[in-house]
Amino acid sequence: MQVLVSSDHPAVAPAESLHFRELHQREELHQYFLLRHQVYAAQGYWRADSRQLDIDAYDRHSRFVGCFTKDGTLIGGARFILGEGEPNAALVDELSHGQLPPRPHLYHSQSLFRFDPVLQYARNQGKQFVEFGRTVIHPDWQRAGLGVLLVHAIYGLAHCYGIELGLAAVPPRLTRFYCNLGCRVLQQRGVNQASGIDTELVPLIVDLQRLHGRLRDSLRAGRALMHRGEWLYALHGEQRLSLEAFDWSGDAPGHGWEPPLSRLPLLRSGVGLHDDTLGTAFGSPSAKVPDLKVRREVLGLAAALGIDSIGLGSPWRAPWEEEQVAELAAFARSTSFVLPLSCDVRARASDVESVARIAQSSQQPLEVKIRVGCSPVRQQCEGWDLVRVLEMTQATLRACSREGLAATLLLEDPARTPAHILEPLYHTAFQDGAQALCLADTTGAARPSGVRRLVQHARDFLSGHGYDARLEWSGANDASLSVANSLAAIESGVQSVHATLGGAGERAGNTSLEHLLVHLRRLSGRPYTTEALSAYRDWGATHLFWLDWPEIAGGLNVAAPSPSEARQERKLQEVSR
Amino acid sequence: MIETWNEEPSRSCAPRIIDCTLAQFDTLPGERQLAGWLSLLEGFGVHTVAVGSVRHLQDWHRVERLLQVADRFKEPPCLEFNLDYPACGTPSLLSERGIRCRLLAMASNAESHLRSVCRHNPGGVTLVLHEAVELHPLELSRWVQLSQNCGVDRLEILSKQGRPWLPGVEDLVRFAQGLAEPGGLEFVWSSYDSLGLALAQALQAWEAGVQAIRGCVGGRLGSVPLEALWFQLHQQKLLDVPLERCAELTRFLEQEWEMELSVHHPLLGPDVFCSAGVAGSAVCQALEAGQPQVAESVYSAVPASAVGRKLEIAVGPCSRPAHVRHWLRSHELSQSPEWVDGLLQRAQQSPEVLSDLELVDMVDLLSDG
Repeated sequence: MQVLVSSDHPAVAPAESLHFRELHQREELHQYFLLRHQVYAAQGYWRADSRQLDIDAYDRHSRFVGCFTKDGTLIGGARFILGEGEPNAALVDELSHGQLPPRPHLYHSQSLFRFDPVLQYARNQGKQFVEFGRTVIHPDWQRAGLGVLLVHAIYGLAHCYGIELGLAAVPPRLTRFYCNLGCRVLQQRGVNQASGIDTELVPLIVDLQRLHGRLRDSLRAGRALMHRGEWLYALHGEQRLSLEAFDWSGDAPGHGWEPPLSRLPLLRSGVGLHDDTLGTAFGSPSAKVPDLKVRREVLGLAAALGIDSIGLGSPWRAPWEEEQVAELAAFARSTSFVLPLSCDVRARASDVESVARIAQSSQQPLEVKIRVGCSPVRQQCEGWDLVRVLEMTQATLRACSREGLAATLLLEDPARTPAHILEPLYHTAFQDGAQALCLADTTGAARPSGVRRLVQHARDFLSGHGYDARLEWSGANDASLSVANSLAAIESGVQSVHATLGGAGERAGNTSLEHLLVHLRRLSGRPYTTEALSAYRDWGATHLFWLDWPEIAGGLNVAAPSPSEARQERKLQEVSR
Repeated sequence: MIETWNEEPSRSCAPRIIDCTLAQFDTLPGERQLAGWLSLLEGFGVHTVAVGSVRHLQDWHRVERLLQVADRFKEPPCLEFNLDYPACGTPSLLSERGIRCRLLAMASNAESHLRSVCRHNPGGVTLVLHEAVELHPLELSRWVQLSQNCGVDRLEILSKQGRPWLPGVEDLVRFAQGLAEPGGLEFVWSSYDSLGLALAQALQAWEAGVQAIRGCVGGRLGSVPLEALWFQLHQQKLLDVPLERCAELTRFLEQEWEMELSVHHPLLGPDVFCSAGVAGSAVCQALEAGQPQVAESVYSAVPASAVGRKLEIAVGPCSRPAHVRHWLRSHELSQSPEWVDGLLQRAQQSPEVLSDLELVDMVDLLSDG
């Protein structure tokens, strides 16, 4: 078994080693482009010519890493394409005799795949994004394990430059290899046409911030490249490289027992979080309604946490609540508050009209979430039938259209509602102008498996009927599954989930906002600051009088990472320094 | 049973339940406390009761008495003790009575030490991988191998940080089980609820193949909430448990150990069957129509009577006329519109829920004025 050693390992003075370093010099780049031509010629893309170089327009915008033997022979290399910048333009132009056209797209794979949502996500999150590619290995060194090291090295180089997200397009036969190295498959296929050869390619994405286990070697590589300009891999005598004894064929998962990106998709621009604290918390018998000035603070506290929308309450419910909605709407207007604000209404036109009056008087746009109880149990309780429910829903949606209010249809207790009741409601929702559909498990009856089926059914229905609408999820905690259900809903494709501070709400409460934030950061990198979360929780502890807050790892210090995460964070900080 | 979108479980047998409620307290329970707890647990399908930690040699006298208490039961559960080696010593009691011991897997658990514990302990040894989710697969396989070599019969996978997300649970359990010889090690899942996933993780771990789940009544920070687990297993027709006695379990814990649950703790918290807000309207409507079962299930998947509780309606700032009418009716008072409006107005002006006494005072004022 080989021992992977980096050049900063104090105990090692490698006699025989491979050297990985960034390619800066003309001669090195020349060797690399020659090697590329040689490798692709062997694959049949063109006839071999020992003088020809494989260079394209993207090389001007790329950085390169090469692997050298002790005598300086380049045996492998890779590149990543930057969105901005031309770090090697002069050298590449010189080697190509200035004959390269400008690049047609930012990234090579954009000619094959649409990954605008990924780019948008990267922009929204402020993450640098690159495309990895042109990974080539000299024929004499193929099938010797060098591929893994090259990937470590190119990841490491990317770390040096603060890059966090990467894309690669690979042949299907290499998908498993790259997935074992931290990549995740995007749901597309493309065919690259070069020199008359069609090659099917699969797009993969990797989050460099979330590398675990063996891929920490890429952090070592990055650190070595940063500090010493090269990363050394020790060879033992004449022995060729071999992978570690542990089988990473794909049967054993990545270290940390969560895939680096989990299943939370990055294809969307991020999951929205809707804070319903103001609308729901005071329904608990133990909660106290604080002063209006104090309730106003929620807007700023939630915004600081990166919440995407806020529920203000239900003006039809009580005079104090109408006052709350009006006051908060006016306050939002006066402070140019940017987050969308919404109110809950019943399936009654009069409720919509009360929201419309407030929106008009405050000049603050308000959205409406129309709560419709559709389950058989609810219908039995209220003495409704499906026709009645559809009529009420339709009338309320039309009232929203008349008043110019954006509407979300919020179906209560869908987990206990059969498809033959849900589907007509879906039709009604979108034929009568709803912009979004919220599946609200108000009774806590769902389990994660049920959530997946329900959300998938809704998605299939919407896409099958050409309805382009936002899907949301809201869950109650009656059965202690609200957090798990919310995560399952996100995995299944909802664009927004509802939560409340401390899981505050009637009966057993709702999904805890803090838990969701911690999970979303852990599993998909959605950021928040400890200060913002502590401030909001302090507000709740002082004003909501909510006993026994949900404990988060590390107590109120909700950002406390696990020991391994803390070590990893320190490493990343070292690398970026 | 109301139909849902949930999938049927993939396994037809329930997991074995290890109750560690008593082990969360600082000291070993008294004999009366243990007897009371064990009698309450009858019928709940608890296979093992974790009693607490043996820290000193002197604790063994108490252990012997607690074992005698358990012996009085017709089908006594197995008692499990955490052993703080080496301070607790290895008295002959271990080999004579066959007590199940629970040990944390640490680097200092040399192979010889584990062998010694297993040899002295025919009652069984549970080795706890207390940060299993942090373990490298190589290290995990080493512990599995060591457990098998030394004669450990139960391996507990404990997630102290409350991670991972469900696919990671499945991967971890399947991987660990794949390393063990069939019929050898029994796998136990245990996780802290610090990230709100304990119950979901336990159910996932069981689906993935663990044989037992460790939890405690009331959940709290540590462990899977047993009452929620029982409810899920009962719903899936895998375990027939007297859920209506859950309230008794909580009362016992409050009485003996002053254990308090949060007001909104699912199934057991004081507020979970008390509606003070908009959901109460539908509940009141069903009660008024003489449909108590509908009232219990219209806004909760957990019917109050199923867990030995009663529905309550509170009147406060978020209440609707239905709440007030229900209160008046339940106190055999007139439900005249003037009283309903008057009480509702006062309630909605209050920052918090009103007590019965406050409401009665208001009725008096309304009837006078």
